[in-house]
Amino acid sequence: MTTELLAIPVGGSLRRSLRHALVAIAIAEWDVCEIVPEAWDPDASDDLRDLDGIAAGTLPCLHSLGLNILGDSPSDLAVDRTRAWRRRFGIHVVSDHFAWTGSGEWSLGVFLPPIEPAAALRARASTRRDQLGCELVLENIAVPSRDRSFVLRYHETLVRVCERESIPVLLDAENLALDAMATGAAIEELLAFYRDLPIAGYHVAGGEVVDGLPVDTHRHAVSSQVLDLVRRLARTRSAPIVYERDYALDAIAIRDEVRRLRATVNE
Amino acid sequence: MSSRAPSPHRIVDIARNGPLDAFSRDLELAALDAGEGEAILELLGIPYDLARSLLRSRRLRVLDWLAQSGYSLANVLPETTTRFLEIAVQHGLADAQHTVDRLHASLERVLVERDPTGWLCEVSVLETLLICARRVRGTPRRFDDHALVRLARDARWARVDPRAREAHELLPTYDVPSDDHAGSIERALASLGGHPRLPVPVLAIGGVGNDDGIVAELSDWVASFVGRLATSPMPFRVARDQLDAETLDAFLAYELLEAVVDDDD
Repeated sequence: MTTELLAIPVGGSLRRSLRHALVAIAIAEWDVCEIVPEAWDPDASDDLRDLDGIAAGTLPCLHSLGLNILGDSPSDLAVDRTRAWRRRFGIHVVSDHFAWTGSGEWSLGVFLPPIEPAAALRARASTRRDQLGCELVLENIAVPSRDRSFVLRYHETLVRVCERESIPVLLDAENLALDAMATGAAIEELLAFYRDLPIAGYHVAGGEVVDGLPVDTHRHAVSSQVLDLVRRLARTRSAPIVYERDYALDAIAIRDEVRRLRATVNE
Repeated sequence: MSSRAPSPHRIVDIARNGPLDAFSRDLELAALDAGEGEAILELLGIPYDLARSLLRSRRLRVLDWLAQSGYSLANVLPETTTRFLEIAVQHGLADAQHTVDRLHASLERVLVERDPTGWLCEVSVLETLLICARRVRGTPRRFDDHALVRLARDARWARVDPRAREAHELLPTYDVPSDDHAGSIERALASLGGHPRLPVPVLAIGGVGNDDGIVAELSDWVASFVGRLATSPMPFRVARDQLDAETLDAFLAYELLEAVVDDDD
């Protein structure tokens, strides 16, 4: 009984394109299942069926890619669907990235690190939270650059904004490891920024090196370094761990990776 | 106050978002234009290696769109990413149809190596037409009898065996692990049962308004008419008289006809 209570919740993100296989796996095996709200239509009966099944069988979390937290405005689709799924599942929190994805008529579809001062970023995060009418959780992106001071400033700014706005962090262990690798910084140096910040969850994934720079591609299994890191982090500050995979998709590979993750962090 | 005047709030927003707008615009221009974008990337005010990485990521979103919009071969041919990025540097990515046509041409040798029967190439041609059908176009227009018309320049036609669609529909609609690439291609081509290819004329055109575009098989007679229309403009009256009512309605509904306008106009 004690062991069960202490077990760290582990799961994966639900890819819509793998829904036929992955929904059943998530319900049967995952403690937590991350859903990108804008990818699912709350007015479509098959989407409702699948996500209601997820909500009944495991713990759903909403993780948006389209709220453009540090940009000028979010996508209407992301806001509408986040609201709709929140209401349906009775969820009061949504996560997205400490980044922006475009401004004005240019929607770039990539996560851009902030270029504004912290005060402006605080205002943007606060505005977005008010707009959504729920709590916000922010995740660190990978900053593919060797420029150590720029990367450290990114983490410092993220933490400062989260502290001032009382926003918990979704700590992406893979992105931390990639940033450390690119800049030559020690992981501990990056982790030190997050020491006093509430942790809402952890992300892990498998990136790769592209043109000499580590990139968060979500294409691979989790590296042993990141596995060790998240195990250490979650044992110290327990929070759900989610495995992300967006390319080289295979439901069985994702199932096996989540199993490996669970066995490793709870061994 | 004129209804066209921006509200005071909008003025504040423009001022506040100015740097973000400029950054987004510059990165987008660099991504869609040919070249490595050095000059623009240096203007972004972030580390140069980060700017280059963002440029690459933005370009790859275009490839993701092509793959999701019909060019499924991108999910099983690992060469696609490199070839696509080469095309981005050489030609830019401003026009999705030109990009996918170049991608097809660039991959032709790979396609033949993977499948000497030629079916995979046939699937690739079909998939370039599917991208054409994803375009969104304006509202249908009407022509007076004397208006000079030709085939719409964004219509595409080619000779393709319609059975290539069966293979296309069996290809994965998402990126699969590299050890499943060959198997995915094999399973898709197995649906064709080794039959020889029998290409027929096929035409693709984007959707109008909220309607989807089409990839339609043409009768030999309509194909011949389309061929003439593509090379020789004719008065609308002549075009109308050569088509039956149903075909004419389809031509007008899909805006397959385009008025010829003098360059001086």
